[in-house]
Amino acid sequence: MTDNRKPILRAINIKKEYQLGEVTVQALRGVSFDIYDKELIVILGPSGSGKSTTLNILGGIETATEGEIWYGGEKLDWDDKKKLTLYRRKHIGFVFQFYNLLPGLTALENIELAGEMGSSPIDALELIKEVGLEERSHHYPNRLSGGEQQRIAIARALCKNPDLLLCDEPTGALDSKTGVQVLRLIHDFCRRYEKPVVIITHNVDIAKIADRVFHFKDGILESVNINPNPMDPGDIEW
Amino acid sequence: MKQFRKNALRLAWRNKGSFLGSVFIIAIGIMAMVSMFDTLTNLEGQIRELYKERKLTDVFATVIGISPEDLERFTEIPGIMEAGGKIASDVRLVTDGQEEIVTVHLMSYSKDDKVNLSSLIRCDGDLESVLPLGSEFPDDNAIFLGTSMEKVYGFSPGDEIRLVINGESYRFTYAGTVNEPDYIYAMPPGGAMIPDGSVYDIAVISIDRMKRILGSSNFTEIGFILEDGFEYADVKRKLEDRLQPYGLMSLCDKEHQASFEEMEGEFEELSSMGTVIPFLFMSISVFMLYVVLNKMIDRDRSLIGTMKAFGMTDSELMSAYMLQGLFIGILGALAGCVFASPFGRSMFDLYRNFYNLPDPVYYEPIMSKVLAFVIAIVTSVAAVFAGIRGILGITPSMAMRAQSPQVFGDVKLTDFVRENISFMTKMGLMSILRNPFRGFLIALAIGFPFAMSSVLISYGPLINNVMESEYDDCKAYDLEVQLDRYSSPSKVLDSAASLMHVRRAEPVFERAIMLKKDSRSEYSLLSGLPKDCSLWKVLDNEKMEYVDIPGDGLLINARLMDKLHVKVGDTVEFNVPGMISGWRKVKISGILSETFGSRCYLQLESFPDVLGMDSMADILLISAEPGHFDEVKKELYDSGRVTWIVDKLKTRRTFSDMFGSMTIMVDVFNILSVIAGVILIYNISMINLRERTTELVTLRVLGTTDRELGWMLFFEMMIYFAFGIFMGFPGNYFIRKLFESMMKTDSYVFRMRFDPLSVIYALLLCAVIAGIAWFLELRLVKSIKLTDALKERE
Repeated sequence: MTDNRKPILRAINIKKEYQLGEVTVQALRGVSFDIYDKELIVILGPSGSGKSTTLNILGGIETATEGEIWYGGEKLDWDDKKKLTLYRRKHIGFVFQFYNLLPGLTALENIELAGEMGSSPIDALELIKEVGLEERSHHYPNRLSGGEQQRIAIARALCKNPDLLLCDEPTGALDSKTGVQVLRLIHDFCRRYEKPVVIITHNVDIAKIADRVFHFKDGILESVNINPNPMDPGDIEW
Repeated sequence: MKQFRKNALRLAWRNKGSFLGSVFIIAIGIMAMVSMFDTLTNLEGQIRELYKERKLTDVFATVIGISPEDLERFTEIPGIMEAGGKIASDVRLVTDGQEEIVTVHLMSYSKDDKVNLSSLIRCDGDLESVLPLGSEFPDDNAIFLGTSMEKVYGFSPGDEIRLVINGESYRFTYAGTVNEPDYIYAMPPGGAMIPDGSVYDIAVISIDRMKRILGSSNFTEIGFILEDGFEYADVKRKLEDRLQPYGLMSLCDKEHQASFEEMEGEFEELSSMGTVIPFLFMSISVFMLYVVLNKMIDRDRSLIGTMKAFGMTDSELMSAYMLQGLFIGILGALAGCVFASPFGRSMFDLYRNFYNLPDPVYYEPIMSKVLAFVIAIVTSVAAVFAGIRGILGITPSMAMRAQSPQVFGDVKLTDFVRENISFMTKMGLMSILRNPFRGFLIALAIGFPFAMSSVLISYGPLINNVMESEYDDCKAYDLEVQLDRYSSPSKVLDSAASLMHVRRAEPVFERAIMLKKDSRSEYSLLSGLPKDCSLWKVLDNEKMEYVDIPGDGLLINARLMDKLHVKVGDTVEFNVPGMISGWRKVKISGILSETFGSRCYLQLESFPDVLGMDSMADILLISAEPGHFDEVKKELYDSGRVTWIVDKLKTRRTFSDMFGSMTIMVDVFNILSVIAGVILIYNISMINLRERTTELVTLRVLGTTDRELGWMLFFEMMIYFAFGIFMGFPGNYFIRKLFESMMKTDSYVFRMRFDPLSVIYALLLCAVIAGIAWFLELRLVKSIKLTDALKERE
């Protein structure tokens, strides 16, 4: 299938090597792909396949050993930490496996924090309503369940209205029912705001909601499957 | 179990900074304790040995003269076991090239002396030998001098020493040094409170020669040893009554004898400082160990739970951590003991410079080291135990879950604050408000060095203030000249009239008097000052204002007031030995606070009305014309009527030298407390930062810039700093009072005043430390890999 859309992000021949003592580990061996608007991408692969490294490099929290990332027509400069910080701040939303909420801030304040960093934020109150936790808005993270914490984490990621949402195993620590709720929020963001989302997961069932599925193995993007009929998150179960 | 212990030790190594910091702080405390106790043991041991061996008496008296036969009859008084005495007199010593008036307290020596026995150390080339008790005096011409004076002038055996006694010159041959149990601290005349071997020390000649020179065989300094079960109070009244006819000038028990009292004060001071300073440092160490271990246990919850699930007992788990406390205690004690040795030796040397010590050999007592190890190990193990006792409450199931981060405060910022501060400031503010305990720890870490430094830095200025108020403000004269007899004030002034280049001269009366109120009696030095005295002003160091000398009664100082239990308006009885026989009454007209001594004051002109005796003076205060000080001094030096001269500047220099040496020790402790503060602030900050790693890295991942993070941490540090300084003020007060009580003796009181400049210095010092801690925090945050931190579960 020929794609005539203009990518918002291009990854070209990304390589990543780690030095572990005297051993050099090749986490990524030259990965190239494009990310387009409105699409939901799921990256699948076993542990050590390079999917998390890819996500981190896309998000600018890790640098590649070789290769280029182009975003909005501009190449990311791995050596310019300030620019990388601004890139994350302006364009990227993160959802982490372990939520990473700030313990000293309430649920609502955690969301507002991201809003204060963005240039065109979404209203935090509106978001907390959307994730169904309006009544818990003044609770601290330690008083929220795992699912609730992840919903707040998603609201926080969305609040700054990012251009690209990156989710690292967002359902990895949740039961299936809560996992589906979380996936719905991510899916809705992608569809409603027409922004691209990248999810990495071990769970093949989650791939059913994706527009495209990237299969990683041994640091290589082995295959890219296009899903002509992505399912609704409510229709999947694991 | 062995493997778990190994694991615990390896994990501890990751916190090596905190552990080594604790070791260092313990070492400081141990060093202070061991060095002070070793100095004390050396000083006290050698001095008490001398007291015992040389039969230091329980009661001391000075009289105008009592014959040995009359004195012997005092043993008939119930409670008096032994009585003895010496002929003594302050005389001038003359050597070649001498530029000062040097006075020696000359005492007689007889092989038949019964109490306060002299220890004569004969010099023969490089060899020194202590003459056995009861030895004959080696040579009628021989003279033995105090060790301080010998050190200053470096006399050799055979050197000629001339003494001027009653205007006549007598020649002696230097034979060696002497130690007297009652003159270890040889207090010079004229109000100089510290020994100065260059102008004053003791000297001993044979009793036969002394009798011939003075033309009298009567003792002037006598002492009594009491029978077991008797106290001074039991014999005091009887002794007073029976000694009156012999011209009783002073009577006191051992505890109030100048040298004994001074040495006891030193022992007490060393003992308190050897307790308090280590206590302060050990407390910091305990605090730090507690925090480190407490956090470590939090971090190791899952591990501990896993081990419990495997069947490991609480005591097995705890012992693995306690082992760390044991290592820290041992290392701290070891390092402390090693550093204590040179420090103790230098302190001991300092004392040797000022006191006539019998045996200036420093040995290393084992007991203090054993005690140091016990204290260090017990405190560190106890601190570790307090830190890890949380293990007991962890169940395997609890431990397998991560503990939710605790938020202690539920404080909400007002809308005004929320809208008017940047979001990172807001983050910092919320972090502070919602984790008050964390903030408290850091503030405490800042407050301690601030409190300690602000007090220790103020020590130097305090000494300067004392010097300035005592020697610049109060004593406006250049020379204090002691004349050989009392004369009318006008005659004393006439003697100054013949001197060239004297700008102003004033007569002063000074004599020991006895004051009595009900059953309490105390000796005091009465100073009679002219009504408009301008060369000697009396300062109340509590109110810091000059006090007018009353003409209708005595002005006494607060120490004397306490001893006599009197207040203004009370009437006390007084007696001036050798001048007034019997008791007369005088009113207390005022009370003042002074640093030194137990003086009382009265206008010289009021002596006839108030004391019923003629106005007299024996001291001449002289202010020389600018540039002619040395000429005036030289003229006085050649005068036959002058017994001794106190050169104010020289006395001040001696004081400054002594306190200067002490200031070095204080500075060492200051530096050590600052180092302890750096270790404490840095470690507590780092511990707290590690706790917040995920939080801070999340902020970075979300796009917070380094500058914003830096500001947030800086803002937090500023608030903690402000609170730390605020907490440091009560600490400053507490430490000042502690030092004040440690330095307080019967003869002087130092008011450790709040010194704003020292506070500013300490504040700047702590600001620098806090700044460094902030910089290191920032560096640590920047050094954490974003990806690593996000893998860690909160």
